[in-house]
Amino acid sequence: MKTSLSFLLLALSILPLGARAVEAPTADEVVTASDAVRNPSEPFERKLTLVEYIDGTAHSQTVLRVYSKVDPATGQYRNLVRYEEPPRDVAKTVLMNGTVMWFYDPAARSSVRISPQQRLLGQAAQGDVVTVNLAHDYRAKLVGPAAGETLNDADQHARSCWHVELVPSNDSAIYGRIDYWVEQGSFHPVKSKFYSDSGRLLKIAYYHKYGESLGAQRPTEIILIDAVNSKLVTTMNTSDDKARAIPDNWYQRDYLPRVGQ
Amino acid sequence: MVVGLCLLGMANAALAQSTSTSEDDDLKRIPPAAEVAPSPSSSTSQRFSEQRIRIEDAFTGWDNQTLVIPTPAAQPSWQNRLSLDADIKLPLANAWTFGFSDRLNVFAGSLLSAVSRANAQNDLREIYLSDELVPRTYIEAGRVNLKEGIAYGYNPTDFFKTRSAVQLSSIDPSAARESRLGVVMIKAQRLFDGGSITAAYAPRLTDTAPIPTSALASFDPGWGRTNADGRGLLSVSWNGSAFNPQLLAFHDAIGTHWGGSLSRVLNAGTVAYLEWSGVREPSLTARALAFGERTGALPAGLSVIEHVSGRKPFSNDLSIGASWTSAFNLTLNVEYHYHESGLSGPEFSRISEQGANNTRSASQFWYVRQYAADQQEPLTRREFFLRADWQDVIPSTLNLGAIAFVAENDGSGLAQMYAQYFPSRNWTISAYVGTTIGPKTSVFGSLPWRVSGVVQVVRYL
Repeated sequence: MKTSLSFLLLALSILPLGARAVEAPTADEVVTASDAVRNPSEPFERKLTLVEYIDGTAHSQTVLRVYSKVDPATGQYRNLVRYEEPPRDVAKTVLMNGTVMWFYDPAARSSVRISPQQRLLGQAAQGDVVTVNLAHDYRAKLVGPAAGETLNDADQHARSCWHVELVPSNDSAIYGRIDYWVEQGSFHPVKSKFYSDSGRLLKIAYYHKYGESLGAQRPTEIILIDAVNSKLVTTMNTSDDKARAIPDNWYQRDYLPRVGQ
Repeated sequence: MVVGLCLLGMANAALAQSTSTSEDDDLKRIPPAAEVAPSPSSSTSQRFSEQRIRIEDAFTGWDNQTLVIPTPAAQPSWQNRLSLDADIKLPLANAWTFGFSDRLNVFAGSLLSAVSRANAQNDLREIYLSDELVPRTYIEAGRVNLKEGIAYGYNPTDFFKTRSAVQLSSIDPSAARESRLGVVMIKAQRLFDGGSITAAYAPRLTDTAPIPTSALASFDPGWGRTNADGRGLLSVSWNGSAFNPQLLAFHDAIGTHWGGSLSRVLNAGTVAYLEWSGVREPSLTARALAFGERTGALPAGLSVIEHVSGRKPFSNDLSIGASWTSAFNLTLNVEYHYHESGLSGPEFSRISEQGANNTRSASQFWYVRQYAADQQEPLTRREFFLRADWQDVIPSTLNLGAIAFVAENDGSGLAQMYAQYFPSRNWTISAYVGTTIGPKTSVFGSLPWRVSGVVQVVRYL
C-alpha cells in the first residue's frame, strides 16, 4: 500500500511535466500562432509611427501607412508602405511583394526596382518587420529547456516563454537566423533577435503594449534595438488598424502613384 | 516521503524552466524616453491629400575654363535661385483628384541684370484632374508628368521626356530631376491582377518653340515645347513574371518608337535591369541642325558641320545595368548607355575639331549639344553611368553619394559628389560638387566649366 501510494504521488508529481510534454505545441505551431497574434489573416490597413532615438534622445519621427494582404500563393504578406511624415518623404511608397519590390519617388514621378537588401534600408523596412509571416519563410525548432525559459519583457515583467530558433526555409527569407521568444499559453511574441547570413546580430525587437486590435490582443508597440549601431533604438507604434478590402491589383508598380488617393 | 517527492517534482520544474538573465542586457538599451513616445494621431479617412510645399534656395558657382571650342554666349560664374515649390494632390468628391505641381523661381546671377524678364520664371509642371471611372480604371486630363523607364542614368522608354527639362543653364541636380514639365494629355490606365495597360494622347496645341535661352518669358507655360506635335503612347506591363516586363509603342513626328524594359532580382542585394527603344530616325546631328533651322536658331542652308541628311536608319537606344546594395546601406549602380543616333567617337572628334577651327562650326557644335540636352538624350553613342548612394551615414541625418558619366570614346567624364544633411524634419541642406574630366576637345572636358558647386537649402512648410 505504502509502495502504491508512493508510486501514485510520484506519478502526480511528474504529471504536469508529462502532460506538458504531450500537449506542448511544436515549434512550427508556436511560430504560426504567434504570427496570428502579430497580424490578422484578413487584409488590413495600419498606421505606423516610428520614433528614432539616438543615445536615448528622440531624434526623428516617421509616419507610415501600411496596406497588408496575405498572398494565398506564398502565405506571405504583401505590403504597400506609404510615407506620411516627415515632409520631405511624403508619398514615397514601397511595394513589397515577395522578391518583387519597387520604390516610387513622387518628386521624380518614377519607380525603380529594389533588392531585398535595399528594403532593409530606411524606415520602410521596419514596417516589414511587423507583418512578416515567419512560419512561411523559416524552419523552426525549440531550443533551450523543454519547459521553456523565463524572460523579462520590455516592462521588466517575467514571462514564461518558448525559445524558438528560426532558419530560412526558402529564398524569400531575408534574415540568416532569428531567435524568437513567445509567451507560453498566450502565444504573444515577447522578443526576437535578427541575424544576417554571416551570423551578425542586426536588430533586437521587443513586442510591447498589448492591446485590442482587429479582434485579438496584439502588440501595439515594437521596440527595435539596432545591434549594429549601438546608439540607435526605434519605437514603432501601431494605430488606426482597420480591416479593409484590398484588391490584388494594388500590388504592382503602376499602382504606387495612386496609393492613398 | 511524500514531501520529498513533492520537492523533487518542484525541483524538476524549476530546473526545466531556466531564467534567461543574459537577455536582460538588451533591456538596458531601451531609452526611458521610449516610455513616453508620442501617441499617434487617429485618422478615419481612406483618401489622403498629398502636399509638399517648400521654399528652396540654390546657389551655384562655376569655375569656367578657357575653351578650345568657344561658346556663342558668355558663361555665368554664379547663379542663385530662390523658389517656392508646391506639389499637391487633392482628393475631391467621389473618386476625383486634383493635381497641381508648380515652381516659382527668382534668379540672380553674374549675367542677370537687376531687373529682367529672366529674373522670375514660373514652371507649371502639372495641373490635371483624375478620376477612377470604374474600379481600377483611371483617367487623367490636363498637364501630366508621365514618366516611363526603370534605369537611373538614361531612360530610352521615357518618351515624353523630350523638351520637358527646365533650368538647362544650371547643373542644379534637384532642378534637373524634379523640375521637368508635364505634357498636356489625356491618359487612361487600367490595372489588372497581372499587370496594367496605359494609353495616352498628347495633342498639338501650338507651334514649335525654340530651345530656351536666357531670355525666357517669365510665365510662359511652355506649350510650344511640350505640345508642339500630336503624340500617343500605349504601354503594357505584366507582373506575372519575375522580370516584370513592360512593352511600349509611341508615335510622334519622327515615327513609331518601340520600347521595352525588364528587371530581375539576381540575389538578395542585386537587381539587374534593361531598357530598350528603337525607331527609324535621322542622326542626332541631322535632327539638331534641322530643328535649329526650323526654329530660326540657325540660318537655313548654312550648316558647316558635315552630316548625312535624309537617312532614317533604325536606331536603337539601350540602358543596361545593375544595382547592388551592401549591408551598410551603400547602393552602387553601373549602367551602360547605347544611343545609336548619337555621335560616334570619330564623328565627335571631327565636329569638335571643326568647332576649334571655325567660329560658325563652334556655334553649331554647341547647338547640337544644346539640342541633345533639350531632348534629354546622350550626345555620344556610348557612355557609362556610375552611381553610389550611401543612405543614413548618420541615421536620418546624413546621406552621401556620387554620380559619374564617362564617355566611352575618349574616357572623359562628368562627376558630381553630394551630401544631404537633415538637421530637422523640416530642413534639408545639400551640397553638390561637380567636375569635368578630360582634354578640352573631349566630350566632357570641352564643357565650359571645370568645377562647379551647389549649396541648396530647403525649408518644408
